[in-house]
Amino acid sequence: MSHKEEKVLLGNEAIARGIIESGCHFFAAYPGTPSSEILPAIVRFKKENHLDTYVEWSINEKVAFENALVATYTGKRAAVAMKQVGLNVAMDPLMSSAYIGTVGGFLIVSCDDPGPFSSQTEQDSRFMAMFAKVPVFDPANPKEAQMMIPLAFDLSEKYQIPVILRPVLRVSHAQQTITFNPIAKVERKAHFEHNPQRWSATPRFRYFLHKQLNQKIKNIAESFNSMTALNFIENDKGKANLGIIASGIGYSMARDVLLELGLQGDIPILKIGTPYPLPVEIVEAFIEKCDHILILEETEPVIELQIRDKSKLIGRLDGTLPNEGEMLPETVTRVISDLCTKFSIPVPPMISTAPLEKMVADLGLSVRRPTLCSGCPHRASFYALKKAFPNGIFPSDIGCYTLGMNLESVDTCHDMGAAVTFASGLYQAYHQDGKDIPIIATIGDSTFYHSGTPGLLNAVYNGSKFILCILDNSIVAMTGMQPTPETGITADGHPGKSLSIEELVKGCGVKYLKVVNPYDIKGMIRETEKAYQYTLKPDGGMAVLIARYPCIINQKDQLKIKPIRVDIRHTPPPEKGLPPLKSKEMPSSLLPVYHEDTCCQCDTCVIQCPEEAITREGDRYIIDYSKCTGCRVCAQECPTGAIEMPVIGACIGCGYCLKRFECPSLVKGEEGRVVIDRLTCVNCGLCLEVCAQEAIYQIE
Amino acid sequence: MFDLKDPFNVIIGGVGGQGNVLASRILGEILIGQGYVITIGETYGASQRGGSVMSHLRISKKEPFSPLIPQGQCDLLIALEPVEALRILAPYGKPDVLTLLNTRPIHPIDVISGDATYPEVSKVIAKVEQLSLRVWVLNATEIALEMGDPIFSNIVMLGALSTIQVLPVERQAFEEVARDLLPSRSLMENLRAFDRGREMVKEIPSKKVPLA
Repeated sequence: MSHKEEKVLLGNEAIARGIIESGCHFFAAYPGTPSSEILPAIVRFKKENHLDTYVEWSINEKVAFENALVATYTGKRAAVAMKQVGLNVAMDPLMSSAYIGTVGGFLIVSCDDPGPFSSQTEQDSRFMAMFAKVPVFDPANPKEAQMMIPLAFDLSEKYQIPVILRPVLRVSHAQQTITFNPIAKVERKAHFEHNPQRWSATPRFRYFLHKQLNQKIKNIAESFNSMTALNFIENDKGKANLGIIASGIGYSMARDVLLELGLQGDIPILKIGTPYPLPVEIVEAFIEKCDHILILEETEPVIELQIRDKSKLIGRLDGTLPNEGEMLPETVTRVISDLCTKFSIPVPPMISTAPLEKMVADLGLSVRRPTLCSGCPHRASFYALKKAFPNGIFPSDIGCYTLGMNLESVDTCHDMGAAVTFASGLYQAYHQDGKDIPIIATIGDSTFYHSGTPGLLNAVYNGSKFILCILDNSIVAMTGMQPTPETGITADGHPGKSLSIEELVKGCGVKYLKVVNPYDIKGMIRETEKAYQYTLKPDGGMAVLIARYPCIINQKDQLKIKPIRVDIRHTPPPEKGLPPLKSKEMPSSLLPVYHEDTCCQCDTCVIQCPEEAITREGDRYIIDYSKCTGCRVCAQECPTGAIEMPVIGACIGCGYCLKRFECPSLVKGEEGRVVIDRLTCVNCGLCLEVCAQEAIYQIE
Repeated sequence: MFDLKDPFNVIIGGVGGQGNVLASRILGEILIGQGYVITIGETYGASQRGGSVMSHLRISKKEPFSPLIPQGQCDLLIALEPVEALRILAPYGKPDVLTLLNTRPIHPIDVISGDATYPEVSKVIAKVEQLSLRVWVLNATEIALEMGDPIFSNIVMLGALSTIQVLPVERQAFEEVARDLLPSRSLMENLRAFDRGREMVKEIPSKKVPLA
């Protein structure tokens, strides 16, 4: 029976299948949405088919790129996968690899994220291909991505040039029925041919390499003209009033929309699978036959800019399609529909969903913003850091913990590793003015391995002094639980070498290092304060804290064995009755009272009050009772007991825990009093530390 | 035999962590077993930590479609959360859209912290009724909780789907796919969740408002 196996695969899994089917020997990647699922699928196919493919999660994209590239110098086939901003990190080796070229085939998968859904930018990797002068394939769906990959490897080997595959999120994260093709057996034994003139070319020789590269690109463009599997015309009908040039996901949408509007026989589509170098001959011949051309491509006008005569073109350059955000089917429908009306092509009227949207508008549906999980150790860390230094500056980084911004403990998030460099730059900018303020940078363990160390080395070398808190949950949580070097488990599950963050930090020249448990909030606050004192010392320097606790998603079962069940008291003992909610109505005996005689004028109360209800006037402090919510944080934090306030021992609905702790399991209930959502509570017990009115208590 | 519109567009909507993606994958595999060509598009990313999530399933006898359903083209909505149902029905609905609804709300973080309010659930359901040609409801989360873990809600919903005669989803086919996609130690519980969904779902009369 020659029945071919079929399966529903995610786009990224189809890409992995294509890579495996091409007989690829070497694969490296760094996780990042929407690319993260490629490597695990490679590992799966490798195991299922007993292959000896080398697979690694690399430390970062540049490292992945270079590792894989050099494997091609030995004649092997190699591939590397990353998200689009990861390609920025790998841009240096990419640029040079275009000049020097490859021996074995080299495929770079760079997954774009128009929207963006999970990235800093909407950048179009096809521009990166054009910039580096390497060919790029733009798949329209998972099936086509799988089909393109063996062609890309062949092209790469024929012209000795790296090739980019650029799926957008809608391809990477689409699921489709995929037919499994046989896995090619490509026998290659590693053989590195010494050729210093090429592999370590001097600038003079680079000029000739550039010339060679230009010739390669010209030849490839010509060859693309005749590759009808990639570049072809659909509904070719000679002359047409309106034609569409579509690439990648733009083609998938164009097909659907024409079908839906009943126009599939009226409007020809030139499908471009290789937007760079552009197969100019067939593009110009197609334009010649049409009076007007609509260009549908995601995300930037890469094809549009390459067409010399733009007089017939409609697309992004003339503003017909929006120049930011994801291209949506309804936008494409509207644009095609409007153009048909304009060019007298009969088209059915568009159905508006506006009346439906009006029907729900009055309910005021609130946006669902993401938040850290119940029991997340990062929440505890952020709470402690903010509590230690409410007026600090908090540069942070990329990962789940960026959500610390909701806890007012993340001030910046820029690119991988920027927490460390931003903190360093901020320190120097303030220090220049003779001012030293608490700067507390947070970075995840995987991000620290990725690109935290260069910034730390630089900070130590140049004498920056700030606190770096490494949030170590021992996993790459955001992108789906990939292992970090600390775990010592490699990509295909084999034991590797476990790397110690402590050793790494010490190796960067840091003299002050403490490992803390964020689940011990009090201890972490204490350690943060001590670390800051060290940075202030004349002979002090960088202080590093490692806040170590496993990702709660992996730790939930542990909490089931040793749960810390908490509840919130609503009626204070003995028979006081419920206090009124807002302090305006609260009896004066329950309000904070300031005593000037014991005050040491340290400003702690001003800094700690979450409502900015306390101000300094000369030598004393004024409490604005119209702003006070009764959270009691001032009384709790005052080092000399100069603020007096009774502990009520029950929830008064001040909202402090909701605002500063933001646990999804602490829910605002009746009369603003907080209750625990047992559906999501993981019994971590962290909130016990939060309420200064001592309303939250542990149940036996 | 089911005579489905082609393509038949299904949206599964909910909140990150409710098992949207797994539900769409199981449903997709079941339908492929019936000879359909399936394309599924997911909308997730940073949203997985408590944000809105949506899966688009495009079911055809003939060819693969692009992964996003255009607005106004949803044929069946499987909503794992009431407010998410409205959020999707407004832009994606149409006069003859069908809705299968889990009535248990999940409050967004802004509601939890008191910066926003969650509309009354009865009002939300009433709107769903107005926006849909037919509506089936069940409290899938409650049922899953009774079984010991809210994680089963998505499977309870698939069980409900198998009885409403909209898509060809049979228990037998579910079992086969579940054996393939779900951890074997929880197979029995998942089958029980599926059966509970079959028992508990009920149709409520539509209050469809004709659009002007």
